[in-house]
Amino acid sequence: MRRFRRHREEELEEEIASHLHMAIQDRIEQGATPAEAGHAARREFGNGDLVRESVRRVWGGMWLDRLLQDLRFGARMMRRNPGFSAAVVITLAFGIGANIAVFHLWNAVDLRPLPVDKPEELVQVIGKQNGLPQAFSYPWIRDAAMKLHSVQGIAGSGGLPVNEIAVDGRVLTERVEGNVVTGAYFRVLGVPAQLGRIFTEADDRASAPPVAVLSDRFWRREFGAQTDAIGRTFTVNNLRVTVIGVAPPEFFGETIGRAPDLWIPMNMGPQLGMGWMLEPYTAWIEPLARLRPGVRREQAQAELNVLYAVSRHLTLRRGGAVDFRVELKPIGNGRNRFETLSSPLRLLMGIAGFVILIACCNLAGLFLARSAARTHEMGVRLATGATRSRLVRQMLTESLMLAAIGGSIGFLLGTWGSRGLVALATTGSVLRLYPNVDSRVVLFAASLTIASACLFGLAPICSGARKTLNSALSAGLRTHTGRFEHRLARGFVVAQLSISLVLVAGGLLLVRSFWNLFNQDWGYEKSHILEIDFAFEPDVIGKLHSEDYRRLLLGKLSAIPGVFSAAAASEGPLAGVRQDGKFSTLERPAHSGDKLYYVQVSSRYFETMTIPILSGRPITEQDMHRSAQVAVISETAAKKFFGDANPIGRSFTNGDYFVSAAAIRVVGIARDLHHQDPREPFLPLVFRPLNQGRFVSPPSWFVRTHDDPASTIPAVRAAVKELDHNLHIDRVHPWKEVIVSKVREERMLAWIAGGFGVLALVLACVGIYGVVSFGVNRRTRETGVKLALGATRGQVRGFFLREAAVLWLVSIVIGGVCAFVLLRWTRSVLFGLTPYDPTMLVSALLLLGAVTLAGAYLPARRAACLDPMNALRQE
Amino acid sequence: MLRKQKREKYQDRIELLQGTLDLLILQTLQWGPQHGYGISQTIRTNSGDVLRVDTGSLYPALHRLERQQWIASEWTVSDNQQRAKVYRLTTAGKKQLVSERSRWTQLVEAMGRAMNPAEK
Repeated sequence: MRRFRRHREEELEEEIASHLHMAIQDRIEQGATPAEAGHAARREFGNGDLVRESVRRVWGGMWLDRLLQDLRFGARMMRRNPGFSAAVVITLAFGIGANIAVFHLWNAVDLRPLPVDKPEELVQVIGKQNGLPQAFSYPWIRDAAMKLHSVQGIAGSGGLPVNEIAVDGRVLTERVEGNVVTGAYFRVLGVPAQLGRIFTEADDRASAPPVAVLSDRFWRREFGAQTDAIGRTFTVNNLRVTVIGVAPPEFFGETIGRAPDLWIPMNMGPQLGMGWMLEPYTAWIEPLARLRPGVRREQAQAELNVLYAVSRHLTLRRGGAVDFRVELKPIGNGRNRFETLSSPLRLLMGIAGFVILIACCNLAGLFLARSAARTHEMGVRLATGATRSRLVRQMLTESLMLAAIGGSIGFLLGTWGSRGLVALATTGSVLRLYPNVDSRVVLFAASLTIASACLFGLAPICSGARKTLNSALSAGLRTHTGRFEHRLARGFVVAQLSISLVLVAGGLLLVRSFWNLFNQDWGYEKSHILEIDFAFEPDVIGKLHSEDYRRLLLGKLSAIPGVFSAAAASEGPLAGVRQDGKFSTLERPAHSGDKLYYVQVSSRYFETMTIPILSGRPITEQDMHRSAQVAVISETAAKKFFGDANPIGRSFTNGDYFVSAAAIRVVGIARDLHHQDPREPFLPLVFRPLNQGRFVSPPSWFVRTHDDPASTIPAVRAAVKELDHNLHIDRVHPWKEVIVSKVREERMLAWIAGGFGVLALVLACVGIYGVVSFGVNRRTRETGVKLALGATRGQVRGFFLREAAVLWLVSIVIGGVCAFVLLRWTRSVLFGLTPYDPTMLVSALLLLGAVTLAGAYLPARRAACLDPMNALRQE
Repeated sequence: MLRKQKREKYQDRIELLQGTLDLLILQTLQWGPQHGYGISQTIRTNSGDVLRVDTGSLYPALHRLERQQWIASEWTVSDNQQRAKVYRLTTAGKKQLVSERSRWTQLVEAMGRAMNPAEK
């Protein structure tokens, strides 16, 4: 480029010199002396520098004029072919939109760093006692903050159970999430206040007035985004707090999946009824720290190790712990509650990539058909002086313009669609996610648009570049028009159909897999059951440990009109927690490889959860009072430990050997059910009365209703409040929601992959329509001849349909090979079927065939209905 | 014959609009390829020494017209062994010349009518 510029400058110099030379020569011929001639010529020439400058300006300014001209031309072309332009824009919008929707979610979950200052300096402080993870207490963190040198600050945050919150006297009914944080929290994270101020150490003192920082979302919703919100008060758990600041809009805390609505200093714990938060023996915080610039993680880790050992009396020490260690983990991207989404999202990204490929093939075919139709027009333009490079440049500009429009619409579609994706990803849970458009998303969208434009824009350029003047002008007269284009277009359609086969097969597999998973027999009914979770507060937990209290509660719940029965279990079937245990009979001591789980249940548990008792009897109220140790075991347990013998009446021990003093008698066999993971086969389960056996976590509570469970929720809340005003409920929700949330990854995959599969089929149909249409147009005269010579309409139709069928056949061969290679990646997410399930693959083939037939039918019929005379007369 | 070079007064110089200069150049080249100096001389002669195109306008115009592919250039060796860059009209340029001429004619007629409204 520089050589070109230098050459240009040299040429200009030479041109100027030759001009002067000739001017001087002329004057000499007319009689002037060389000196006079030189003077006069130079004077007439004027300022050489000015000339050079103005020519350079022409060189520099041309590209803008040319660009504007091309843009105007492109716009004119688009207006002249509105149908074509619309088809291109819509296809691109869907293709790009699909990719952006998935990328947006992936970005929010995996890729983007926390919206804080210098996220690379943030680390999570993980304590380990004897190698096992152990959180820290509040006193320890405050002490560490004062003593540490290698970090700029250390802070803690934890969930605040918000039982009641009122703004302006109005009690809020929506679920509000709160966090308690140490004073240095916002400073350590590097988050300034959008309005007002952030916490300081002074706010985190028992004597300090209760204050709160609101999230942007909460401020907008409950305080109308007014600046006078600062200084206003509201009540949380009966404590009046003053608003002192609002966090910036993108800030959502340090955990992806949680987005607190408000932050309160941890020292307010006792005033909120949570005195336990500040106790040294409540080790519940996983602190964050910010390294000093220039300090390496190992240095900070070493200092923390020493500190941990020295000040371990300030936090909980596990029994027998001798080794106190600290591990620092970089946490610039935040703590992630969506880990299970990472690999499904990557799979979806791959699928979306295929969708855009299909869209590009589709578009390439469209452009080729149009390019062939414009052959004559191109010839005329070439003849009247346009250069080939100019034509090519104009075509590329038009492609880019269409791509830009399609891409922008796709961007909007994608960001809107990602909301649906977020809903799928957070179904039935309290997780929240607010993806926001950042530079990564925009960059992705722009690159995808340009790459697509290059992909489908190349096709017409290849075709355009091949045109010579002669061939273009004579194109209208011969029947060889567009043979190259047609062949290329058919190639693109085959590519498109092959990829579509993979996509449709994958979609079918994922949909079927979810269907298998959701509709399998879980062991309990999905509807007519409500699950109640009580607040994780020590007082509540203490109360619920008392047997009398539990009986009162169960009685109250059962008495609600519309409720069939109520029950409790140490862990609900989908609580995500498991109790290990051992099972030893006289004949068979416990094997080390045995896997089985214990669950403590109240009476009426089995009927509430609709778990049939196959033989014997369930756990009853009497079992709670008697001292005899009893249990109900699941089918699998019966088979595993007793073989074909009848287990009823037999005994076992929860230990390595059978000990008759600790014998537990089997009184019933329950049908198998899925315990915690619906993807695993049934596991052996042992059910014991709620007061026999130890459990630490608060029980799960269930209520079986006669009608729709959701309608009973208000009655349940009212009944609980009536019983005990201070018994705070965290959540009440229909059991079905819990089940759906357990399989939400598969559900998300099924919906998205299924949707993409449908999109692929639609695009395939359009693609086939386009290419067969193209073929029909090309062969108009030929068809006319055939019809004139006596061919039936059916034969003509058959000819074109057969052509489409050949395309389909070739595609399924190529697509089949690709599917074999690529569908392997779905194995890890499939349930109940393999990636090479024949039914699904054959269905995909047939679907694609049906779509091919549908797409080819109309053009084929058009060919068959041609009037031979008109066809022959066509030029 | 020696012509005395008079220093033109500022007011006497006729400023040529960019479009009209383009038209003049295209017109000049219709009679055959010419180099820059030749073009300016021809315009001067043909206009009766009234229109003197200064190089600060001529060369940018030539390069611009070349960019728009209405004229094309090549280096030739003139009779006295001097290299000169010679411009010629292209096919597209010919078309452009025709349309510019008709536009010019229309403009002149319109101006004439506007300046002498009494004439019918």
